[in-house]
Amino acid sequence: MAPSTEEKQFLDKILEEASQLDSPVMFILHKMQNEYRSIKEDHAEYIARSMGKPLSEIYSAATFYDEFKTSPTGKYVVKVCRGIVCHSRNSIQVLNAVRARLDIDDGETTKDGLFTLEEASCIGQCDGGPAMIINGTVFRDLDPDLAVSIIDRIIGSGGA
Amino acid sequence: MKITIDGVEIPIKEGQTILEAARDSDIYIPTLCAHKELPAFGACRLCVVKVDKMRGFPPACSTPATDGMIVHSDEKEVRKLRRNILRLILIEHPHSCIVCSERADCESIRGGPVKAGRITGCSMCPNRETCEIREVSHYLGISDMEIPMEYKGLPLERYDPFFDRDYNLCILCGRCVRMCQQIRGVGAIAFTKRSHNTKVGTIFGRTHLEGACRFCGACIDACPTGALSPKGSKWHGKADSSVESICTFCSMNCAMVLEEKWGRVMAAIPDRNKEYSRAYACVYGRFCIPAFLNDPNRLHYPLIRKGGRLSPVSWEEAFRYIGDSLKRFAPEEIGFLVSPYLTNESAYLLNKLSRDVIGSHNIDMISKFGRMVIQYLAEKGRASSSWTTLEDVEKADWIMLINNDMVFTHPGMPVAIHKARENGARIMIVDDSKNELEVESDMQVRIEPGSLRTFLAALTKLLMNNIKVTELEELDSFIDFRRSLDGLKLIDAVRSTGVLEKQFSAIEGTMRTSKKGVIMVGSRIMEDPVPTQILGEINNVLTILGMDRGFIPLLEEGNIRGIADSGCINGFRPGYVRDRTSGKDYLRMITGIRRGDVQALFISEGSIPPEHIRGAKFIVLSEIYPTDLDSMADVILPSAVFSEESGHYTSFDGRVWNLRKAAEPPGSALPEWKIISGIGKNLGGDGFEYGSSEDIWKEMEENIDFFKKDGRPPVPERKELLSVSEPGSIHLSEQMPYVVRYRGTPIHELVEDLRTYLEENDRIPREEDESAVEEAQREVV
Repeated sequence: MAPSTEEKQFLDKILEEASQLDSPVMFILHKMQNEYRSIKEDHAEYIARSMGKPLSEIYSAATFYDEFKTSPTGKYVVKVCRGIVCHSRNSIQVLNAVRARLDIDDGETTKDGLFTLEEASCIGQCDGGPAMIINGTVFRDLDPDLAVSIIDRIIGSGGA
Repeated sequence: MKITIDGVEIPIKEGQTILEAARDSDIYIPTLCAHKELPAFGACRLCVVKVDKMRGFPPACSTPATDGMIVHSDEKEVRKLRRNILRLILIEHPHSCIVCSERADCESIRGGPVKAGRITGCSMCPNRETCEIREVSHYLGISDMEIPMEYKGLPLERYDPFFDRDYNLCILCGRCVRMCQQIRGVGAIAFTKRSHNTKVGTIFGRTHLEGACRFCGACIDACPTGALSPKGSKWHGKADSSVESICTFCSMNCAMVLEEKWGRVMAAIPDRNKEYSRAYACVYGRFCIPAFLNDPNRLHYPLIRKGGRLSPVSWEEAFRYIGDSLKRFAPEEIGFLVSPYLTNESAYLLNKLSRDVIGSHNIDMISKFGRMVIQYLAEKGRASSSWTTLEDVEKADWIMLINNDMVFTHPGMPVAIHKARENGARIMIVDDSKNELEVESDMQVRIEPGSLRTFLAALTKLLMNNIKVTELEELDSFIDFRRSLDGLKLIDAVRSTGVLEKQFSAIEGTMRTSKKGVIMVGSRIMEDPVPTQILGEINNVLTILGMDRGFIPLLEEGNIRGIADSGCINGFRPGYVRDRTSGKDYLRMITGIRRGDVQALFISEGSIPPEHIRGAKFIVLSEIYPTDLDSMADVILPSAVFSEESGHYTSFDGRVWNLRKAAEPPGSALPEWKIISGIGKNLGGDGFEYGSSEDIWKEMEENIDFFKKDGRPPVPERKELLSVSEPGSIHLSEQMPYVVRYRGTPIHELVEDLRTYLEENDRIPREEDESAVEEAQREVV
């Protein structure tokens, strides 16, 4: 499989933008992740070839950081904090409630492709735990019901 | 410059690290991630030392040695630190063999054969014989572990051909990853994920077969643990004996250590002590040698056709029968078709038997590309000189690769090209179909099939525009050459090749930058009806550039160079001395058989298509495995393989290698030189009384200038220019891809995993397509 013409245009654009940077790989991975919600195999191959780098180098970096996904993620990535402070405030119950509501385990994506559930190490909300973060929006002082109602609201809005 | 390690003063070289300096002076510093073929990595931290006036404990592998440095390696504080570092490593590495109270007693039986898939106990580890972790832990005196082990519980990876992986043993030293990327230039594996989840894995979870892996096995040889193990040769335990020999499957002749156990070659391991070729061994040599040589179908006894059936006989009877039968034919009715896998000694004796004893000058090699190239070079007086070598490749400033599949025909060569590229060489690929090395190239042009001549002609024209060639104008051939170029318009060349003008000038410009260049050409040029025209036009390019070296034809068969050197080439005696009596070459022998001019044949491998020799009255076939020719042969002689005899081989670039005997041949099979001597003696020939192959070699060295030490003449100047072809497309005759073989038998026919690998890469038809397989096996010469 090869990237489509539009995808190539996008990849060429970020390659161009990255060409002046000292460490272009991270920049490119971020852009790819934001645009396509995952680092796709054919995209990574295209980038590696264009940069004259071994594909293994791109792939190593992509799997090193949790921010980057090598398999497609849902439209909404739900990260429930499992840091030590949230843990002491029963974040496990929040996580389990979300698990049950979405019927997926952490690391998995719902069948409709709407949600991906992940555990996160500390997300820096220790004064408002338990916390979770959905596509960059932080939700604090959660309890299981509140967490589920947030998920419900997203589903209720048709995922828009 | 000097440094002091533990009170011992040792010399250092500019740019050396402490570890390198210590190793040069035989001072042991424990390491698990450092490898002498790889740059420093600093992953395992076991080589930490104390250095006066330096803070902390720097690792010896990545700390540059500076004059006057005082280093402490073997002292209490350092040893304690290293012991704790190793213990941390061992938490995730099954280590029952290291902390066992019976350890001393088990040393003697540790190397015994074993059958166990998952490695959980001490005796099941494939590295039980040579384990670097054991060595290091022994040196550091680890006899207990205070921290309990944490078994990773990863699944075994046994679904790929050739080697198994058990990453539960992996210590993440990264040698395999670095070897694959930095030395082999492949990059099939990488560190995946982070921290506790880090694992060596393939890209996007592909299998090795689907991914970029070329199955060279360099990762296995670099691994300090038993995490990686070759499927075919991990069960037999410690070898009974081993010899330094070579792999004979292609003309690179990589140095290999052949390990013998129970009278058979059980493993072949790249000889890492040899500077040349240590890093080039590939899927064929690393994995296929034992399975290929030990197949139960090897021929055991001489066979003579009696009343339509082949029956086993003694060698004496076979020799007598051959002698009596051959006497019925006139010398010019006898032909010799020589396998390009014979040793130089055997080839020399065949030349003697044919030309001197029998008086037949019909002798030629069984080969397509190699025969064409060497015959061409011999006619031009250039075959006898030393050829462009592997070192020239590594040190080249530019390399042009033309129509070749070296990833499958010479898998070691891309390693040299990777090294050249690391050293700054520009790699240019000119090919009329997909070339697997595209990732390793700086420039690639896909030319239209059949337009290679036009491409070379246009390149020649551009070079002529930009280079002064005053001295070439004296040549007789110059006027015609010049005229042929004048008729060539670049625009026509662009049209028929599909190569843009700017691409032409980029290539031409690169070639002009340096005379240290190499043009490599593969056997796909045989699709051209007159492939010598292409060789001639390549010669034009090199001549105009003023290069006296730089041409590498990717000769395929193991010793094609050597048997030509030794006289088994039409028109030339050993050392490329012109044969004053003319004889028939391969193709004329084939037509001669049809016409009845050639009636008796001595053939030393069964790869010839049966229809080529149909009609011959008497056929002697020496081979190692049954072939399609068996039904036509009157006598079949079982020959020894390369691991069962001693002798010499000559690699594509003219290096002479020693073959050494590792095991006995099966049944009463004999080395080819003994077979030829036996026939020679029965025909009343003199000069076949040899005690060993070494005697033959001595005779060659004494009598033939070419084989004398430093006897090779220097490269002659390329004082010739060939008129270029008119632009346009040549009609090509399609041919099957070359498959690597030995003595006429394709390696993949006996090695199932190789078949899988080659099928996956479309080098051979899938097994299910029976008719196509049959087609592929028919070698159309």
